[in-house]
Amino acid sequence: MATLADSFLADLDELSDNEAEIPEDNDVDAADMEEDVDGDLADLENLNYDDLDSVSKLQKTQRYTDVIQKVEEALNKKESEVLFQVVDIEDDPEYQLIVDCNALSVDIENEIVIIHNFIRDKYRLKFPELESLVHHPIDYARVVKKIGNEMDLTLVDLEGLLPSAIIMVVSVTASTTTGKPLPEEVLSKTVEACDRALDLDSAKKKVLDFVESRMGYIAPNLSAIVGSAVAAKLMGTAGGLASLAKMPACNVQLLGAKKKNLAGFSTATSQFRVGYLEQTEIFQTTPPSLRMRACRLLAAKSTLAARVDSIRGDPSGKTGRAFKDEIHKKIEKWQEPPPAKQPKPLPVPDSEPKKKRGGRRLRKMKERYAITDMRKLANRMQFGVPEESSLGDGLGEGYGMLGQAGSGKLRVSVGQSKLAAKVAKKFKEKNYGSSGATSGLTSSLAFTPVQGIELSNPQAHAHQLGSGTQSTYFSETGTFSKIKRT
Amino acid sequence: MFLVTAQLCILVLHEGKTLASVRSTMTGETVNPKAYPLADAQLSITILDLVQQAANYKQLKKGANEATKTLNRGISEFVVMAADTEPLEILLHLPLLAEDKNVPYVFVPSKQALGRACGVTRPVIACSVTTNEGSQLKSQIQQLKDAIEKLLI
Repeated sequence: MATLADSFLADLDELSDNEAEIPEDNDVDAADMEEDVDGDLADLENLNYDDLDSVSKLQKTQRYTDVIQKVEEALNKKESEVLFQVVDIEDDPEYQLIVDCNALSVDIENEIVIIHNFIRDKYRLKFPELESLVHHPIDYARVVKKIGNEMDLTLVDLEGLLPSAIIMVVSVTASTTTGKPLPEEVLSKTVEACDRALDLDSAKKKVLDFVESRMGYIAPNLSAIVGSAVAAKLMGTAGGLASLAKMPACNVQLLGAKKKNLAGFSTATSQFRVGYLEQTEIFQTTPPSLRMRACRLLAAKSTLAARVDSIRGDPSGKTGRAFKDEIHKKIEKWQEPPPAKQPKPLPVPDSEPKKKRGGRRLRKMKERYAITDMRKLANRMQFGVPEESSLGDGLGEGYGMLGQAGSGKLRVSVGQSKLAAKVAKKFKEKNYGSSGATSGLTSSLAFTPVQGIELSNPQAHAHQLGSGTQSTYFSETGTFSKIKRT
Repeated sequence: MFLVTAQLCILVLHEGKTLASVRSTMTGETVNPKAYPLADAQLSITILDLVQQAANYKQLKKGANEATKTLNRGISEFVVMAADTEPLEILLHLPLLAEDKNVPYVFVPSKQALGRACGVTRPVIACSVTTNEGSQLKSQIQQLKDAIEKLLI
């Protein structure tokens, strides 16, 4: 749409430039070009007309007209006349009107967005920077209608439409804009679209006022918790109070949540958004870190209140106020700091007596791992006598009283030890001597683990040898025999 | 459940009333007339026993919201609700849903007892026994459904 319109307007600009270059003698060509210009303008008019009517159809529907008329009639009623006497609230015609109003307000919202896109496409040629300065559709429509085709913005009074800072920015931007005045037909279409948007906005306000005024009678408990506006939106989205009552609480939490397409961006940085419950006063006054829990709590209690309202359990709204007080108490409880930590006393000491006393096994173990006599002497110092050291002159490892017995040596004579004496006695019982054989293949030297080299006399066992036949051929002491040649 | 039985014996011995008249005075306070059909003492014990077995067999949904979901999905055998809920209106949407789905529903006198039967330390105001083909509880569930539907006659 925009591209096509831009191309047409660009063609118009080119044609207007070419007219200046045409000589006076080419009248036939000028007439042909005038016909072309007329054709383009006719197409452009058709394009604009079709666009506006094709994109904006809601105001011409019968449903819209009927609902708006009924709302105006209902609003003109006196407050005392509006009382629901029937037991079954679903059969009341005004209740059905409220359900229709909820659906219509959603349609009006969508229609305003469509008209805003139309206005923006048309007005971009005149003032391309305006849409980035004014974001709200209704404010944009008011500003466009006010400025019109004026090029000098100092003559236009925008007071009351925008904040002062934005007015200043718009004025400065307008003085340097690259836009050009719109043709009269395009401007009239744009202003008409602005009027439609403003009419739809006022109609939407009227519908919402009607629904909110009746919400205190239809759902008193739900309105006490979340407010009339949010209660009306919840009922509209759910399709009625009975449908809302039959929903589980986790579905009520998501009513009105918009599915945003992040277009590949990460969801970690996106703001957490819930549905209509986000707009309640309780949710907005909760600290951001507790809003998730507050939203779940609100959804649960709102569902209970809707169930009470759906069967007219408590028309006075007392149950809803009790739920609201409970919600406030819980949120305050969450914000309390945790209790201060008490100083912890020391644990009770282990007062059991030792089970181990000195016994034979313990004494043996102590004797086995005791400090040696050499280490004891090295650990002692004599008063007034300097000690020797491994490197001399006090350097290295000190020897203490070691080597000061007069002999000048570091060797220590071993004292008598019971354990050592017993071990030596056991070793002596073993016989490590030679077996007495004196053949040429054995040695008379024997090695013992206690005394080192020990000499043995082979003749000491000569009397034990066998006699008789054993001494000639199979004797252990037999040697080589010499046989003479015959 | 032993306390209920003991209380029943005490009432019978003390005042000499018959079993039929004990029903209306068992709870000691007036029962909400909207809690209909209300099970008597014997049927309540049977219902709570079956609810406990269903909890053990993982065929139980505890809570009003979960019971609503089982009714919407059509996997509920019957719904048990507590008559001493305050306010009672917060679970009166379940009989409407149960009527739409043609599922039996019944009220038991105590939400504390219902919570204990479900294996929860908190009171439970509504629970739903779910369908499971081939379950060992199928015959008991069918008998109890018949008994509940007799209350509605």
